[in-house]
Amino acid sequence: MEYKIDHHGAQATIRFQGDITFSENYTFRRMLSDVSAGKYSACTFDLSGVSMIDSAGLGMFLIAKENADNEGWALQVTGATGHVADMLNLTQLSKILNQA
Amino acid sequence: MATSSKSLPHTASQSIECDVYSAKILVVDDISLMRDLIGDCLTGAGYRTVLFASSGEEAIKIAEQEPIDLVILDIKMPGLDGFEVCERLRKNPLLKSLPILVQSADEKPEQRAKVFRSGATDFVSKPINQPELLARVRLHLEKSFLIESLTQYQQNMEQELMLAQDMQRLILPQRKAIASFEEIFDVKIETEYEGTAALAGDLWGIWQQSPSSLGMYLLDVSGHGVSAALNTFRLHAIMDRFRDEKADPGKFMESLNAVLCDALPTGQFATMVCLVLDVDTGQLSYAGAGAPRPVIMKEGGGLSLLHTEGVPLGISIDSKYETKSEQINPGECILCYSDVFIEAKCDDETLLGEAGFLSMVTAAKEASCSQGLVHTLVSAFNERFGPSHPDDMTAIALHRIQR
Repeated sequence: MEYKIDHHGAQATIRFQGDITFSENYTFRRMLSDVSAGKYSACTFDLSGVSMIDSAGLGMFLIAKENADNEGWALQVTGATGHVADMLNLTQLSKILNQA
Repeated sequence: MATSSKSLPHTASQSIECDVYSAKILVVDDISLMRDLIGDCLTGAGYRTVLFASSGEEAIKIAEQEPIDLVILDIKMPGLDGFEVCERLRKNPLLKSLPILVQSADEKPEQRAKVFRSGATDFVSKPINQPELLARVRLHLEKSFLIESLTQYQQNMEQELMLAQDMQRLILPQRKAIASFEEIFDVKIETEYEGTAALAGDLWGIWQQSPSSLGMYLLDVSGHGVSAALNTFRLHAIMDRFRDEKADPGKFMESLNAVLCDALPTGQFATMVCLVLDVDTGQLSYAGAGAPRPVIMKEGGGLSLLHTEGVPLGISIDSKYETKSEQINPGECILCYSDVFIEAKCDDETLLGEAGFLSMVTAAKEASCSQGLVHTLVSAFNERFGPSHPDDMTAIALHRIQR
């Protein structure tokens, strides 16, 4: 998994690329640290470049949501297709993660 | 004010520092003066156990008789020379990683290459440079002890994991219990469970709900390894608390969810499907929490899916789990399976997905004879995607028998 943060003022878009699985735990946490340091008011996680997410990957998004609530930024998820969209719908995390 | 003192933790490096001086070092040289010189150098530096051999033959005898930690070996000796000693020591599987430091006055590149080809670990120049000798002895002893310590640690961890895997298998339904349910309810139950190389997050169970109904669940704790495995044990224990609620799968899962929301940290959860089949009426009651959608195989050959969409357990206390119904007649079958099947990567890097999995189920149904549906499906899956998988694999088929 790779990520890139683009921001316009306090609005950030994090574009993910690759699979989001158990082994990406370290990279995902580093992304969350970068987001916290950026002190954004809203972050959109763009998943259009993600082809696969496993249960641990979904768990990492829940941690992101908790960070967002604790740090006072708004989280939205967008661009999920294929397996990623199926997983978000099956687990209904699309609602919890504010899927656009 | 009261004060307390704590000793520093005993680190691996501190431990190895102490160990090197208790190492048993064998000095091999045909010249008595050289043996004494090297021996004095080692004991002067603090090494407590130094053994001596005056020939290659004697060195091999000693190394094969008692545990040696390091050998300092002269290359030019009458009888067996240093090269032959090296080669013979390396042929003994127990001495394959024994550090052997070869001392030679000849420093030509081809000579050094020959020394390493014969199995030596390192080279020390002759005449002996004492600081260099001590530095190399210490370096190779530390490296050797560290490798030994890590190997031991890995072996211990592997044994612990194997023990934990056995314990996990023991909390799954055993064949004898399954056979008794098959007899009571006139069903055939096929199961396949393969944990990953580490520990599993899959768990399934089956129980008699009433004289005419049979209950079953399959869950998958998020993540892999020790934390997922510990959570399966935790869930298995929690379920017993809600035995009376199992008749209503949705209510049962809401109770589990309430406990897990408190017990699991953010990011950990369990997907689950729970179902109760009444064999008198054919009514299947079920509820889902984000588990892969079970497949119903109809008598006429068609496939349909149960609706297990729902927030996994342990995420939100507000989650509701509705109990839904389906009709399962004799001759029909329910197949529950873990997500490893739909997350398998095809040759073109796309995922098999639910649609791909259903195609495999259809093919397995047509191909399965005496081998059974699950066995045929798993064999085909393993043949296509290889025998080892990144996640646990569980598949359970519950067939109503047609009389």
